[in-house]
Amino acid sequence: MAKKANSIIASPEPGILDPMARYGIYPAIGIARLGNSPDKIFLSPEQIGNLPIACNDDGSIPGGQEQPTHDFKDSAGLIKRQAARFKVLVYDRNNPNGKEVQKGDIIVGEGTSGKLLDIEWTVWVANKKASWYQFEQLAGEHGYAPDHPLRNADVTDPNDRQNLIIDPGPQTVSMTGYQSAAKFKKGENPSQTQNFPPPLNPNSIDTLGDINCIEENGNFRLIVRGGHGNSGSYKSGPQDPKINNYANNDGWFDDTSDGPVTAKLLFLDETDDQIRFQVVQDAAWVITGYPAYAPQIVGMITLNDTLYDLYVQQFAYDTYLYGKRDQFDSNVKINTPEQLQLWRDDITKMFNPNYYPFFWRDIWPILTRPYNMQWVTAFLGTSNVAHDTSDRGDFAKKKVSIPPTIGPDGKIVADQWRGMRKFIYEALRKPHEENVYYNDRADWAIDDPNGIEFAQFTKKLMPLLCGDNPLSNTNVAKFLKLTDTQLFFMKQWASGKFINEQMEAWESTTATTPPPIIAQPDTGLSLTTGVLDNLLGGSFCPGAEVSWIIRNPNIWAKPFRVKTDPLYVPNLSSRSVSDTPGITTAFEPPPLTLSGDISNGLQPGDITKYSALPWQSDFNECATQPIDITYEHWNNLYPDPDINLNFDKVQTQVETLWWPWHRPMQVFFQIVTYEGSTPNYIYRQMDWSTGIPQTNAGDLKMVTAWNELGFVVNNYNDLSNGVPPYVVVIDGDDPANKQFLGRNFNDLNKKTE
Amino acid sequence: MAKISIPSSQPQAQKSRFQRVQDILRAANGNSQADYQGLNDPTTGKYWWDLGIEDFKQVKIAGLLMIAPPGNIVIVNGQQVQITVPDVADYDKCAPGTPSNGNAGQNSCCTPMEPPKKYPGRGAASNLIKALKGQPPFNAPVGHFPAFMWGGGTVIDNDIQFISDWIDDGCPEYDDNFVPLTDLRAARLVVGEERHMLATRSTNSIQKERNGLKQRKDVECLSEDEVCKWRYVMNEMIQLNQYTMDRRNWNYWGRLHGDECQHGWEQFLLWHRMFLYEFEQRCQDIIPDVTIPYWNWPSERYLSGNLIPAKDINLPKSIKNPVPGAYRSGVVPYPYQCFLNEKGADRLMKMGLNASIKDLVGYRFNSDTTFFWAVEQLTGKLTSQWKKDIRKTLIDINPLWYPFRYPAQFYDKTGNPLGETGMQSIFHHHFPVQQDVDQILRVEQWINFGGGPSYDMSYGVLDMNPHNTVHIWVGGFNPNFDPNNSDTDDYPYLGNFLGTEPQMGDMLNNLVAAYDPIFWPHHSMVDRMFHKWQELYPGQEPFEPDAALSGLSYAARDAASTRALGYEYVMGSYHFETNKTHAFSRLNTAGSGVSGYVLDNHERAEVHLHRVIQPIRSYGIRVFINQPDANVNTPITGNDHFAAYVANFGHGPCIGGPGHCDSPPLNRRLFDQRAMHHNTPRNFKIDVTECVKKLTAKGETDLKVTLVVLDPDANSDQNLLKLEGVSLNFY
Repeated sequence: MAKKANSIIASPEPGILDPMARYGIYPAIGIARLGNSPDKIFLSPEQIGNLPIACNDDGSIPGGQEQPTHDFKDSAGLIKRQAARFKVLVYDRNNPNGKEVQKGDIIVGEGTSGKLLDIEWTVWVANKKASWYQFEQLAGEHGYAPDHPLRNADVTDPNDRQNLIIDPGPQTVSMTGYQSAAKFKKGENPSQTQNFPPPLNPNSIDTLGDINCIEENGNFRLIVRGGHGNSGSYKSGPQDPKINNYANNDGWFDDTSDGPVTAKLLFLDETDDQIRFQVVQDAAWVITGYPAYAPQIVGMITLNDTLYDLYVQQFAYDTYLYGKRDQFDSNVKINTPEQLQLWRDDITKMFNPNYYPFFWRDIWPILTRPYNMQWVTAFLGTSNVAHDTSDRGDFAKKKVSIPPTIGPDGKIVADQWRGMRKFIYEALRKPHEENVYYNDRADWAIDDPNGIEFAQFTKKLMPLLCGDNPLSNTNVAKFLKLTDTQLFFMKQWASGKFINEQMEAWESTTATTPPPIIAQPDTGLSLTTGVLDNLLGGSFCPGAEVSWIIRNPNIWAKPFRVKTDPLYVPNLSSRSVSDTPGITTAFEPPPLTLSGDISNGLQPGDITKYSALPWQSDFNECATQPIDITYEHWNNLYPDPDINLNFDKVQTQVETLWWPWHRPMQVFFQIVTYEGSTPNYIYRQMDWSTGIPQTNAGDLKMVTAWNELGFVVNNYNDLSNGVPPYVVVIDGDDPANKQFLGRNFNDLNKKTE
Repeated sequence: MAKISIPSSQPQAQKSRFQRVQDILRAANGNSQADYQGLNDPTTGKYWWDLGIEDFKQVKIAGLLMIAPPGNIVIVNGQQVQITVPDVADYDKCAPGTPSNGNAGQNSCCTPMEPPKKYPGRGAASNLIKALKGQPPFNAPVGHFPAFMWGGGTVIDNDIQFISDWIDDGCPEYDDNFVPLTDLRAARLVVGEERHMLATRSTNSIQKERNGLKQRKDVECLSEDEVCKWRYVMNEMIQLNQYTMDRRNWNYWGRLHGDECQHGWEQFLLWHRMFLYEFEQRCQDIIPDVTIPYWNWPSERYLSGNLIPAKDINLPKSIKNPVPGAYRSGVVPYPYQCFLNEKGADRLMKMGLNASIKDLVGYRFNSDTTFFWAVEQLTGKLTSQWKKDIRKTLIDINPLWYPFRYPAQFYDKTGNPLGETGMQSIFHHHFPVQQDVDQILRVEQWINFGGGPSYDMSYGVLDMNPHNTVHIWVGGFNPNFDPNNSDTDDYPYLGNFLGTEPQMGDMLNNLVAAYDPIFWPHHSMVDRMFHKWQELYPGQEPFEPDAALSGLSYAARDAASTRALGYEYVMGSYHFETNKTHAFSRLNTAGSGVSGYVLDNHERAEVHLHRVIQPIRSYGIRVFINQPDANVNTPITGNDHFAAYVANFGHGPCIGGPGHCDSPPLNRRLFDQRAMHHNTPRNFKIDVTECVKKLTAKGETDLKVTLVVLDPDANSDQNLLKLEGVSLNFY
């Protein structure tokens, strides 16, 4: 949901150096993914629900033409790592929507300028999981209790605890400097202090990944790869390695990581032939997560949805959408931290009741996501309501996309599908209903005296997915609800306050056809949101790539820019020209710290440390969850005949999915039989991770079995010929994969909705 | 020459501006199939710009009104912000630029009409113009919507300006296309056979066009239009409170008074005169013809015989119980009272309040403690959140009402009401009666009346009893005082304080008194007393005339004359506009509709002739009241209807070249400091007090004026009396 471009607008005055030029690394947050292939990679998808981008081993694009790839595994059947690619964009008066800087571009420093020669990149990733607190659902989101247990609490010596951090040290690369590639590997960073864990069982960790820079057609890019998916425990007891918890396992390490990405623009100042540099003001962050096994199936709430909601409500990101009551039309600008603080403190803020969301941009993605869950879970086994968008479906596209007809005074004169929209909106779980399973509202959420009434009392609230805490009795949050912003959009839509972009001739297709997805991101913002739309935005227990720390406003310097601790990035504070070029500037940062004070900003490892350790245990268990709905505010009940005499009669549990688009449950396998030489394809929906139970033993198995699982890929069929549109691909030789070969980029990125 | 507008439909050669606006939008749309939320339907040829003018002016696209409603535009940080009128308010019709607030009197044939008023900024504030220009929120992708025309072309800057100017001019359907009226009616008017009708627009808007003194009126004698405008002005300043540093906002004036108020010495009257002057100028920035009304305390409207919490209030039948003593209050001026209207009741019912609140629509309350008591009789106990929401609604309905105002509400230590006697027992003062006012005006010396200088400070009498007393009386004490919820450090209109229950009314405390809108009519009355005293004992000066008035850029002497500051005090004023190109031999007005209150309470009555053209030949004018058939032969002795005689001294035949004796323009050039032009039109102020007294004593209730022109040559020459208006004024 890319809603806004960065608003740096200036009138063009060619030939005059632009003092307003602002440089930024994009995407603002890059996502690398683990893979056990030693050297094969692909690049992170840069648009919502897209396949990754095929690339050479150094991250460059073969033939210069970007192509999506479904070759998730190398020729040896090992999962390729997903690399994060970063670019530097300039925003100035000639490029209000941003443009990638190119060799030879005039770079404006402070008091000087010159032609771009090279970009010097510095990256520092780390893994702090083993040194951090234990994950206990929502405990800690608003501060850890003094007695909150640490992971590896048996390690008490401060120096020993420091050794629980995996820290390869920072690395710097540039095309013209002393290295253009570098590794976050044990022993390969002589100028910095490193820390790696001792030998682990089953898999040791000696690297968190590597980086290199490339020059493509005058563009300078950074390629960041993460680890290889190695996890293991250093403990050597008779039962070890053992896993006894979904999120906390003492002795264990994994090789996910995160950290800042900074850059300097090196340019030649022709007034005195000196090489000078300009620091890119807006630093980026890179996160390494586990593989995306169904990259084209978009989550119910993406990380971009979650962050957009956070920025709207906490950062005055769109004051037309959310802001001070009665000021929506006054185009309020929040420019300074003081203004932002005043704005945050104002209790009259609300969503603009006159905001008209756009159907295809804001509403349709929410409506289509549930439907596509059926390709990754045996959805129809539990529900006969498939959220079908075809003509006879309950989400019929040609009905729900049509806004009411209004008269000149703005009042509705005809609204044929209001009842249908209202039915969907009423079914949505609202704030404070996180623990409610059946709709128990006495009143309609939308005042609609003339509309069709649907009895929804006792229907299940949606989305019917696990929430942030269906596990313990502290801070219970059993079920997932859409973000406040998503719910607001849905409310406006249900009320008839929405725009169909096609009907207003904003897009050149018909009213009931979605607009084409833009093949290439056109701005730094859409590059960032395109990446983030493929990450999990909830629930966070602890989550997938990131946990609930991501929705803490204090970790953000501004929307999409992580507040970085300046001690851990080179020369961010010094933008001015020094006598000598920045190339040789020494960077001697202090050690990473064990403490969690985020007031100075985040250090390497400070985002992933909130996630499960090892990631495989939580990944395996976040499949389905029995949720006890007997009593609203209790997850765990302790039958006591002295207290509750008919407990066994009232207790109710419901088996609830976590996030099948990230952790597939049942997928369609293609089975080929031959009649003579003619292949005959049949499809069966079966368990994706057969033989890996949702137990601690299964978790341990997942530590080594994750790289054998298949990827779910869109084959651009529809159900009309009996072929499910999404089938699983195990490896490159899989006959299912053969069907995709030869399709071009546009075909593969064309959405089937 | 009278002008009326007629449809320009017959000769189609020239299109009206509205038609051109439609053409521009149609052309820019081209072949676009944009739906505009169903307003357009290209298959049936339906387009929103083809709507009739009334629909066009209210058309909404994506919930946004395309044409900004009439109202003042303020610029904040370079952004145009329209001052909004709350949806429950009835004073929206008085927003500057509202068509019904134009200048068409009933006697439009004689009104020197100007083209429709311009409303600068209304076009720029309109979403249509923003959409055509691609301004927020029509500046996607940064803003929300794409620019107009959706799916079509753009409109060139000149055409956008054309549309914007058309909106600034009030979106006229037809262009001004004036034709002269038949001469017949004019011929009847100039001989008095047809009457001039009472002007319906405000007297101050008429006075403004004549560079005449603005009139501050008795708050109870304001016309509906004048109250409406006053409310609109208050609302706009209150709306500006959200810009905390904006000195034009309401809080600024409350704060300035709290910081700088001079009282207890001779600057009391002087400082407040200039404070009111500055405030009134600020109000006139918003609507030029508003003035601060005065609260004539000793009027019987506010008093009952024993002065104890005035008169019983009316209550709807559904309320069975009488108002308990603790919730009884004194009477404040009618426009300043608290009331609920239909729209306000609807809003509260939508918010969930019991529908029985409708019973209170139309009833009047002097403080919200009484009002809330009445509401609770109907709906049950109110929470503080409800009180907050209700107060916000009451303020939206009537921004002259103020929640922290408890008139004549005084309590003993156990909470029992003391009423007026309570105030006497606590403050040794009583609410001012006519006797107090009369006594004060008998004080002859400045030091006693106005106060002592800085080196011998002392209160003046006016400062003490009526002034201080009314502050205390109207401020009062809150019977629902909640010490845990009493934060009134700041003015409450930002909404954060409306739920609080302070101990005292703001008028009770000098530092916050001017936050209560009733501060202004109260001090206007003080200033009126000062003005009356100055007329009774002329020539007295403050001891320190050169002393600065703190917080205001004036010296004490600057406050010497209300007239020099451009205003006078009247109880009522009734205007009849005339066509200055007509020459009258007789002039008749219709009835003035003067109220019984004014007839009973005024001290002096005057007929004014406004901007009488300097004649070549001298002539006389006889003024008759309620004798429309009076002529040169009507007796003037033994005739109670004869009011006065005045003579106008002619300047004789012109001795100069062409243009020497032309009337000068109304407004001089900047820096033109020469003496007055010999032909500047003059005003006559004719005392008719005795005549009015005689007629009212005979039971006549309405007053009409007849002027009879006397030519010394006895020729009844019709080319003598030319003037811009006649008015009847009561002081």
